[in-house]
This record gives sequence, structure tokens and C-alpha cells, in this order.
Amino acid sequence: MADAARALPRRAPVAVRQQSGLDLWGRVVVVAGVAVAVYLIAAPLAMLLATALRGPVEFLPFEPGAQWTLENLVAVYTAPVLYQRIIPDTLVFVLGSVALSFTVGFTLAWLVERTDLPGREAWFTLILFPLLVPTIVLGIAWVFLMGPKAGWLNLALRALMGTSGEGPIDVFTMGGLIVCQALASVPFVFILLTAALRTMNPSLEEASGTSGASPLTTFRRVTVPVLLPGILAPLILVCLVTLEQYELPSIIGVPAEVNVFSYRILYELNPADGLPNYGGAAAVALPFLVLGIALLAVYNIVVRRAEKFVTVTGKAYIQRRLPLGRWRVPALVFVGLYVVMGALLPAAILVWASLLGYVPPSLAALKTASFAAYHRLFADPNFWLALRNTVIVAGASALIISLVGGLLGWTLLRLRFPGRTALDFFSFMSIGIPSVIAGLAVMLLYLTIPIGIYGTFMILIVAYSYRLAVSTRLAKAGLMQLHRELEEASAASGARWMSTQLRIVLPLLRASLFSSFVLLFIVGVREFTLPLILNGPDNIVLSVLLWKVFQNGDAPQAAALATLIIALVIPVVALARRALMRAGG
Amino acid sequence: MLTVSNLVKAFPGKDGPVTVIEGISFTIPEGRCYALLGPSGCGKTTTLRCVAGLEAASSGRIEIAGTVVSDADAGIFVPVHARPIGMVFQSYAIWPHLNVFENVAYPLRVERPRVPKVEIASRVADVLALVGMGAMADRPATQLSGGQQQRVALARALVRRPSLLLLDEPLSNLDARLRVTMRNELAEMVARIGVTALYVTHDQAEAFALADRIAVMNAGHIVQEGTPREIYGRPRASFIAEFLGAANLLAGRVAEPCGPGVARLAIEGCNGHLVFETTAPAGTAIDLVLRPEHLVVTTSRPANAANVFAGRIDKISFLGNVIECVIGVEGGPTLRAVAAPEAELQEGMAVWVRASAGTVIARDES
Repeated sequence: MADAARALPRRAPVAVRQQSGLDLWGRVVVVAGVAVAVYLIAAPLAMLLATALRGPVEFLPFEPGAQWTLENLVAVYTAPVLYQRIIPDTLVFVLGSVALSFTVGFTLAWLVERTDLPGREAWFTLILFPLLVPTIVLGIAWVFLMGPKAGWLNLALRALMGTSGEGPIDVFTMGGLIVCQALASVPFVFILLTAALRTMNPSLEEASGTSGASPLTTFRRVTVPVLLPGILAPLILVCLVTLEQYELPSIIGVPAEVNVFSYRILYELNPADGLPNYGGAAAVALPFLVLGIALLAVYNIVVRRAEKFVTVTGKAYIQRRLPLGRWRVPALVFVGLYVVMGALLPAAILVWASLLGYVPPSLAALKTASFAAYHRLFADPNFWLALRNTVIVAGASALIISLVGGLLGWTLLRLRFPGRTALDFFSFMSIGIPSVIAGLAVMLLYLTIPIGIYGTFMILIVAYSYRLAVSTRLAKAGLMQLHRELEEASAASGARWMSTQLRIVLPLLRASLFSSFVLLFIVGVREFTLPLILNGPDNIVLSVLLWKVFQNGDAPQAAALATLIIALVIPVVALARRALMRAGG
Repeated sequence: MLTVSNLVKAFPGKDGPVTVIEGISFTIPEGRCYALLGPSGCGKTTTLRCVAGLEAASSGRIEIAGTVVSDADAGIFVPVHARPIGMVFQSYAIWPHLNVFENVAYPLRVERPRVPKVEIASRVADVLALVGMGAMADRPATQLSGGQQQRVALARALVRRPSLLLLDEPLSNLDARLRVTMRNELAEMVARIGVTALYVTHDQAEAFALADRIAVMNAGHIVQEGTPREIYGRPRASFIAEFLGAANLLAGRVAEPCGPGVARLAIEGCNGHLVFETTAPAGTAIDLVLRPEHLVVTTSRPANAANVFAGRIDKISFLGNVIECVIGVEGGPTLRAVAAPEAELQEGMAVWVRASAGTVIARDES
């Protein structure tokens, strides 16, 4: 018996392995990478926290004369506007648009992924359109479409109903804002849910069937419980993304007198009367920062539970598709309606308005078409500056995030060190920071640190680069696919750490890093809130320029610029998609 | 040459450190092949990784070709890339972004001072020819079969002319048929180069075929060290007898010595005259190891023979080359025996089993 007991291996967990071959250079690079990552996220947030506690308002937070005070917090948290307007409006806006976008997004995902809906590929591309173009572009298009007086849809509906005056649709209401935000968020939900539906192992459902369960029972007892984490995770993410929205709340929400917190922060920075109130803005930001990070913590728990399910293998299965039968036409109408409102009509009205101005569609109007708006745009040096800045900032930040985030991903996955879990969550937290708060925090930081990047495009690169989590996650996923013996074999062949990284890890992670770069480049081009908050004389980007042109009431030029932005983004996406296919992604 | 002395390795665990290697020592003379054999979790792979430098030993000394590469107490730790080794990994770890030539050339490309291009080309060609992959230098790594990957992995490990070749379960990723072929080829290739080699495996056939000497490991210790013949023929612990094959293990005691190095045994439930080699004194608790191939099954009682058990066939399995039978010994243990396929045996038949050889292992009663 003694032998039997001895034969039981006293086994160390296989994951516990030595950090192989981390020599001096390796240490330097890893420590530097972690330090940059921590700085990019933590320094602005620390400054934000400090600023909330500095006053009075006449001074910059750390100017001589400013001091520690609670007056910002007291002012913000005792003001009735927070409880009567900001919190309720934010909640209604977020919950309303999340509920709507989730319902629509889930239906679309299910129709495209699990039924025999015709034209699946084309729908897939069209549904994703709103995710690719800046939301500000869509917002302007929807105002053109649903403006109570001259919106195309209203003109058409009034003509149909034989009424006159305004309406019947008024986009400038809470309802209008919710619908528009939902239209904008649907593709985000859609892409996450199709992934969840696609990676569900169909044999799980088949096993239930062969166990004698009816299709309905299978759906209830297997499909839903198995998919639940896959549904919950996107639900939480879309809450987060909606919470940080500023574009539509500013274009549509302000005329509708909807007062969400992101707008409030910008209002504190540019009040109608007097000086920017940095402390007040920081104080408004704090609870929403906490809310964002709390949502992210919940997301983490949900995902970890989901990972326990064998279904989440990342492997795509060939799914049995449900025949739609007589539901085919209603389903097509539903998908078509979304695509018309989310992609086709916005694109059409922008092109139209850029050529003809903001006039109702008619054959007579066609004669007045001209490229004047484009000529004016091309003659404007600001356009070229904005174009240059957009490409540089989006490109440079995507590069920084991909490299630093990738290095961080390697560090988190391959090394064991105290505080690893904390660092993992910390880097992941960057997703939970609403961009309006990130922008404010970066602004406060470089207002205080005199390194002269405030108001330049450099500050935008630094600000955009806080979103490390995207590439950290992608790099980790890529690394998990790589057997670690591939790296050990390099060390055992006599290669130093640096050689291993450059000759083995980097080439093998090419696809992950490239997709992270492309994704972040598109995110960078779409970015609006950060460059708006950090706007200086020389660092205007296309989305901010568009907003300014629109605010000036120059509809044709705004439409022309919006059209150009779409024309810029679509080829990038198409090229990236082809390159990714070739890279075997 | 490799010398490992008093190697200890502990990993941090939830409740304090977990020791996976508890002080093992062995030496591989120049040009010899040595295998660490044992079940999963016995510490053999960790030992190999300590020798490679992929893990840092907690204490003890490792010396490769006369140079100390690891001595925890003296604070010496030579990193992996600076040790004169070549390693074949369990997964082969063939880099998918490089072709066969570049995979094999890699150790020379990262060598400093730089190896001239001409020399790289000729050395890679030589070693590829050695492993029989000369014609496939340009093939992408992703288009190799398991056996070809194994050859490339071996070529890559040999190209820098290492003082020590390390092989981590080198055949476990191949299917059963290929494993037998590659086992012989691998043994032959390693022998031809004459490199000192350390294998890790859980497969006894692999260890027997590849190694001059074997250390059987269990729970972080070397239980027995010796040539394949010694290990198989004279297992020094019941664990080894069990691990090395479906041996019958009978518990009993030494009844009385009856001659120099021979004793009569009392096995529970057997009243036959059992005499086997042992030097253990009377009263010692022992395990008697009887290998199935040493048991002769007959349908009539063999005349004037010792070491005979009377029993009944409980179960017969026809395996093609042999018949495997499970025999219930009257009032005692169950024996597993093999017989020639043409033997006329049937379930329920009364038979006699004679043990032509057996090993007595004194049980550790502590």
C-alpha cells in the first residue's frame, strides 16, 4: 500500500514554469514596456483624481495658488442637476439604447448566423457599416434624415399623409437619441453575438436531441444556458460603449436638452460663462469612471465563467441552419430596414447633400448638382491638416498600442511575478475608462507637466494610446495558440531573449499584431471625443473638423467631408480584410 | 558527459513549495545514451528542463562536459542559450514561419561570433542528409508529416554540434506504427554521431531501445538505475515491476532459507512448494514478481517441479500472437499468463501454472 501511495505523483501545476531565458536585455525591455503601459493608463487617472481635489477654479490644478480642497466635490454632489438631470438622463439613454440595440442586434445575428436567410455575406458587410465610419458622420446623416422640419423621412411621410408643418418624426428628443444610438451600436452587438453563435458546438444541441429532448426543450435547457455567458459579455460591453458616447448626445442630445454626463464634463470645461472648471469636470467624471470599471469587473467575472464552458474554443463550427419558411419575407424586411437606416440612407443623403446641398430629393434638383463643396474643402488648408493629423495620430497610436500592448500580453502570459493578476486587470481596465474621461485626464496631465505637447498632435497620440487592452487581449489570444516550446526551442538553440522575440515570436504573432493594428487604426480614425477635448490650433482631425463645419451650419461642406471620410475608411477596411485573409487570420 | 548531483527542484504552490525532484544524482559518460523513465508527474521532464536551463534548480549541481552550468548553492546559473546543448521537444516545436532549411539553420544564425553563410549552408546540408531530409530543405515547415518533423527537430538539435543532446518524449507524438520505425532510426542516428544523450520517456520500450542505461523515476526520486536488462530482469521495487508491464505481484513472506541465496516462500493462499532466489532472512515481507511470459500453463500437473500453482482458467482472451489467460489460483491470488495461440485452453478448465522465473522484492515496511 505504501508503494501505491508513493506512486501517486505529487505534481506541481504544469503552468508553473520558470521564466526561461530572460536575460538582461529581456528584463530591460519587459520592465520598460510595463512602465510605459502603467504610465499611459495610471498617470492621467491619478491626475484626474488629484484635480477633483484641487481648487479654487481660477487656477490650474497645480498652479501656485491652487490648494487641496473639497469644494469641487461638494459643489458637484450637492447640485440638484446631478440627481435630477445628469444621472437620470444618462441611465435612460444608456438603458434605452442598449435594450433596443441588443434586441435588434441579437435578431440580426441569429438570422444571419443560424437561419437560411439569403444573401448572408452581403448583409454581414452592410450591417457592419456603422461600426466603421465615425459616429459623428452617422449622426449628421440622421439629422438630415429625421430633422423635424426638413428631414427627408419627414418630408416623405408628410407627403404620404398629406399633412404639413413639422414631424411626424422628431429626432431631437430622448426617443430620437435612443433610436439613433441604438442604430449606431447594433453592429457592435451583432459582431460579438455572431462570434458567440458561431463557436457554439452544434453537437451539444445534437446530444440533447439524441437524449430524447424536443427542439424546444433543447433550446431551453441547452442552447440558452450554454450561450448565456456569450450573450451577457456583449451586453455588458455595449453598456460600457454606450456610456462613453459623446457624439450623438452632443449632436442630437443637446438640441433635445438631454443632459448626459459626457456632455456635462465638456460643459464644465467650456461653460457658457467664465473659466473652464477643471476641478468640477473631474468631480463629475469620478462616479462614471467607477461605474465603467465596475461594469468591466462584472464583465471579467462573466467571461471567466464562460471560459469554463467547453463551447468557447474559438473554433468555428458548421451550424445547422434553421429554414425560415414563410418567415423569410418578414425576416428580409427586418434586416433590410436596419441596413437602409444604418447604412444606405445615411450614405445616400451625405453624397446627395454634398453635391446638391440640403434640398429634398427631386429630379429638378439634380440639375443644380455641383462639386463646389468639394472644391471649397480642398482649398481649405484645415482639411489637409486634419487629414494629415488623422492618419498620423491613428497610425502612430495604433503602432504604439500594438507594440506595447503586445509586449504586455507576452509579459502577462509568459512570466510569473507578484502582482501579475493586478497588472492584467489594470491593463484591461483601460477599456472601462470612458473616452471623455480619458481625454479630460490626459488634458489635465499635460496642462500640468510642461513638456510642450499640449495642443499638438503628439498629445493625441499619447491620449489614444491608453486603449492597451485591445492589443493585449489579441496578443494573448495569439500567444495562447503558440506552443511555448516554440520559444524554448529557440533558447535551446542558443538564441538570446531578444533574438527569440525578433526571430520567432514577432513573426508568429504577425497576424494578431496586424489585426490589432488595423482595428486600432480604424478606432483612431473614428475617434471624436478625445481630439475634441484636446483640440488645439494645430491638432485638428477629420472628425472634429466635420463637427465644426456642421456646427457652422455649412450643410453641403459637412456632407462633402463626411462622404470623404467614408471614402477614406472603406478602402482601408477592404484592404485590411484581404491582407488578414492572406495572413491566415 | 553530464553529471547531476543532488538535484532538487521545488515550485511555489498554494500551501508552500511543492518539491517535484527530491535530490537525484546520475552521470552519463561521454557518448552514452541515458533515459529517465517514469510515469507522468514523476519529475523526469523537470529534471530534463533543469539540465537544459529552462528551469532553475532549487539546489544541487549540474555539470555539462566538465563545466558547471548550474549550482544553486554557489549562485551559478548559465542561461539556456549559453549551454552547449541541443534539444528535441515533445511537440517538436518546428517553427511554422520558417522552412526546413531555416529551421535547422537557426542555431547557427543566432550563434555569436557569426558563422559564415557558406559554412551554415554546408553544415545544414550535412545534418539534413544525416537525418534523411536532404531533399526537403525548401519544404515549408507546415507541410511536414510527424516523422519528418521529428527528423527536422533532431537535425536542428544536432546542427550546432552540442556536447549534450536532450530529448523530451521524442516519439510520443507519433502514431504507434511510426513510433516503432522511428525508435530504431533514432537510436541508430544518435549512435552514429556518438553524442551524449539524455532521453525522457514514459514508454519502457522506448527507453529500452534507445538507452544504454536507464533511471526509473517515481515521485521525484530515482528508484532504480541500471541497464535495460537489469531493470527488467531484476526490478528492485514493486513499483518498477508494475510499471514495466502487466506483472503478477504476489504478497507473502520468506518462510525459511533453503540454500545459498535461495529461500522457500509462503504466499497467501498457495500451499505449493515455492522456492525463489532471495537473500532476505526468514519472516521478511516480500512481493513475488511473476512475469506472464515466465508462467507456463499446462493441463496436467507437471512432474516433480517446484513453483507450481493449481488453478482454474477464469477468462481467456485470444490476441492473435498469444492467448492471454486469467487464472484463479485455488484459495489465492489471480495470475495473468500467456500461452501459445495453438494451446487448447478453455474457460473453466483446471490448469497448472509453473513459474520458470520470478523476482523477490523485500517490501519496504517503514
